Amino acid sequence: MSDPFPWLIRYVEVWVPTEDGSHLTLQSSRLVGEEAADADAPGVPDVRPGEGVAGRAWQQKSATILQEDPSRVLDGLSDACGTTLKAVLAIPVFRRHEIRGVVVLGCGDGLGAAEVWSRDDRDELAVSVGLYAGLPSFEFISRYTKFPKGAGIPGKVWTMEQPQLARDPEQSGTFIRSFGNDPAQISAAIGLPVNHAHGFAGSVLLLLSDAQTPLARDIELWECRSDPATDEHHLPVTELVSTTSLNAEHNTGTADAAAPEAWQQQILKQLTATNSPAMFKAENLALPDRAAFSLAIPFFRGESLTAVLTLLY
Amino acid sequence: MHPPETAVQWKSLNTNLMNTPALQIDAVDVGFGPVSSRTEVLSNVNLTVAQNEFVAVIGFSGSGKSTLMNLLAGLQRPDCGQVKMNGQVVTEPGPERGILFQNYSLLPWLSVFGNVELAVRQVFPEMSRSERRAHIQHYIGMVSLSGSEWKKPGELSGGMRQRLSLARTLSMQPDVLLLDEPLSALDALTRASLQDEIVRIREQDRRTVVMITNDVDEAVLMADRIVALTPGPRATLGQSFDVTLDRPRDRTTLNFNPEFKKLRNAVTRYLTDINQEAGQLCPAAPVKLPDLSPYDFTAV
Amino acid sequence: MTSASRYLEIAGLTKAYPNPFGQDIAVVSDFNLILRRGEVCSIIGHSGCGKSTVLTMLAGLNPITSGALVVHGREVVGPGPDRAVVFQSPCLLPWMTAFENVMLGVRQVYPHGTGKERRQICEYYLSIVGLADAMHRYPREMSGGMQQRVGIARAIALKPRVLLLDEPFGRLDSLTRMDLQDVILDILNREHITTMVITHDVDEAIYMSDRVCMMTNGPEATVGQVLEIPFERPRVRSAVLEHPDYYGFRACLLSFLEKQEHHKSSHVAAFETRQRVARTDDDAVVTEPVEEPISV
Repeated sequence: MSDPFPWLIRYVEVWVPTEDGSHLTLQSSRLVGEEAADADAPGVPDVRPGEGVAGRAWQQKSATILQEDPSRVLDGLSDACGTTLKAVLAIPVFRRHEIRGVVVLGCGDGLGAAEVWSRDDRDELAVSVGLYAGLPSFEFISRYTKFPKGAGIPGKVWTMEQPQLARDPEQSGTFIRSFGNDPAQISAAIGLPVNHAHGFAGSVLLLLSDAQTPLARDIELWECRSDPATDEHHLPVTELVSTTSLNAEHNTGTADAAAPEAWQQQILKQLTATNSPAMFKAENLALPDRAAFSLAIPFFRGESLTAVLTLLY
Repeated sequence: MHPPETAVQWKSLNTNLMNTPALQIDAVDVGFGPVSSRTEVLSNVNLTVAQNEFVAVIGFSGSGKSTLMNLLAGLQRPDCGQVKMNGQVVTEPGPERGILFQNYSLLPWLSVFGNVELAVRQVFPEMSRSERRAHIQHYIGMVSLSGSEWKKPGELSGGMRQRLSLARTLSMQPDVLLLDEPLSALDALTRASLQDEIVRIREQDRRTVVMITNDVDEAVLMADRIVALTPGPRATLGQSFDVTLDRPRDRTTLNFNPEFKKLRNAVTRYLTDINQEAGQLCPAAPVKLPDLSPYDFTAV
Repeated sequence: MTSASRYLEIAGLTKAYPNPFGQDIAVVSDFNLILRRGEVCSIIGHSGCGKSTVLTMLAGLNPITSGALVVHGREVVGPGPDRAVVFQSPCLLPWMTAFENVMLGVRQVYPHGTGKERRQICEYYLSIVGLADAMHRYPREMSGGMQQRVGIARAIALKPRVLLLDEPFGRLDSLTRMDLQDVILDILNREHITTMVITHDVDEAIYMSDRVCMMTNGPEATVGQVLEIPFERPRVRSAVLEHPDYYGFRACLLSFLEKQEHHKSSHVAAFETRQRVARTDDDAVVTEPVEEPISV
């Protein structure tokens, strides 16, 4: 399948902690698109908490959106990628108190939205940073919108402490913010929590895209379960319970509906070994849908891996 | 083929009628009680409704809205002034003015069909049995009640009963339709669907309509013109607002229509202003509030 | 966190009833909402979505299955004069005048005051709802709007911490409704009572509240979203209506109700199918006539 349209996400970076945990180092970066080339990012220095967009996400234990660009990070990245990036998003992954990585996503032109929802003084989530394209009414109402725990996609992410994935949310009858005659039609939404220590750390990254500029070729959310038979001092053996996908036919729904496919098993195996986000290239792993690569982000509740979000490009 | 002179005659007659207002109220006063302690309900009311025009009269409860409707229907005579329909003074009720009230006066022992039939028999006694049947079915279908012909009013929801009343009124083929707060007793959703239905029927079957309502949105959505009735006693017709919004009018998209917003705000503002003039609110409290807190029952 | 920013706290409020098959069906599930002191919040949703269930639980008139209600830092269980309720019909005692109806509650709540003080309290609140000249009328001598004013005076006279209004103007025509909205706002501007209003009138919700809580349809009804209404108080209706954002809020709320309606129709259809299946399984169940849905 050739790509008939540009992806909303054009560029992906994965940062992982150094051995002593004092820095994050750039493990891999990729351009999204037909060529899916490794991005040319020579000599990127390691970062400490607060440095760069990845370091900032780490320090603040919060999803981060970089839009204004005083340090010309976007320009630098754009030059490196050979494409224009409009914004950079970063989401940190913690296992208990320990940083396990930061995923950085570069957004290009497209239709959709990226929002960081943060918990306020009365325990409601409000948009702290929002980036919108083709959604004037949606943007207007978002400024006045609050989600208590359990309400809306952000509130569900909070309750479940796991990513939430919605296909065609506008059809659900509960997607309240989409009310006007906006040019963009939200066809997919994913909400990602930042978990820290024992659970939700108060920040949700919500990505919404129009069918014309999708977030990815496919997005899968795997719910995982640690094997209760395993000794807790050992590395928990995790099995895949269910898969939700933006492509309806990939959904397995409940447990034992389908055995995990080889590529899923392999990703899971590596993630449970490293506990860090990672990218997997088609050269090394037979990915479905002729995808060029896959980005896999683990989510932890305390020490246990509870979910993996994979974006296929 | 009609002979040409007949056609000309027919045409001129029609133009004539088109130039005559469908309804006209001229300097009407209505009051109750003896001369010594008389309550003036309506005072110097003037209204002209053009042929095929839809006028909404909007006013507060107890402001003489029902009296106005009774005058138009011919159920009540003015003390002063005149009410005319197509140029003729109205002196009594007639089938050429069909009324729809808030409370449907349906006969509970007759079916949907039977209720409509009763009215049709009265107004069109010369109709043949099969003509009458087709006529009744036509109007039952028009209000989307086909399939419920043999139900009794007791088996119908409030909205369906009001549809039946509407079918009965329309089946008499009145020249003028008088709607006296027809939808006030219904819940918001049923109300919205019946508003759409009435507008749709009127598009198919053009006629003059006067509707009394207390709801600004209902008036803006349905009417060609809105006339405010000032609070009583001595109520009179106040400002008139032309509704020039294109039809069909869609509730959802109207929200984004600047003309709709402007008109809706103007009517609301006018009504709140005239209401405050009437001085119904008494803002200043004549007594002082003692400095006393409620007893705390929860304190142990 | 100060108790002013979390004056009324509704945490995980749930109401479940057992169905005929012995399973618990949650009408309201995990309802979370926090109000600041003096804030006015409306709850909108379709009739039957469970918004009145939430309110009666807040009033303590309906036991809570799980969750908690905290007012001013203290968990409350059961009814109490700290939470006054105004219902759609004011339920005045017909053999008592407006004044006597208000006095009924005042006598309960101010046992430590003098008779004169209690009388002054009744007179004060009846005057501020605009009934200074009609205090000694009986309910039958008053219009629906006036009776509801008595209902409001009766509730406010208790100086409640929380005022709960359950579709207070649902039975009144839209112009009388606007009058009474102003009566309530006028009182709230003086008394700053934390207030919850149940309504399905979108304009009422925007005009009266600091925030509108959109409630999804039951079963398992809960908060769908909260919308902040940033207009300053005291509010003037014409200024609110002309605010450039007014129709944006209105469109969002109307579209929410519309979507919920579509959602509900499909829900109800599925529910009725299940009911029919249940009936064929058990002939002993008496079939009740199902009111035909309106075909629009």
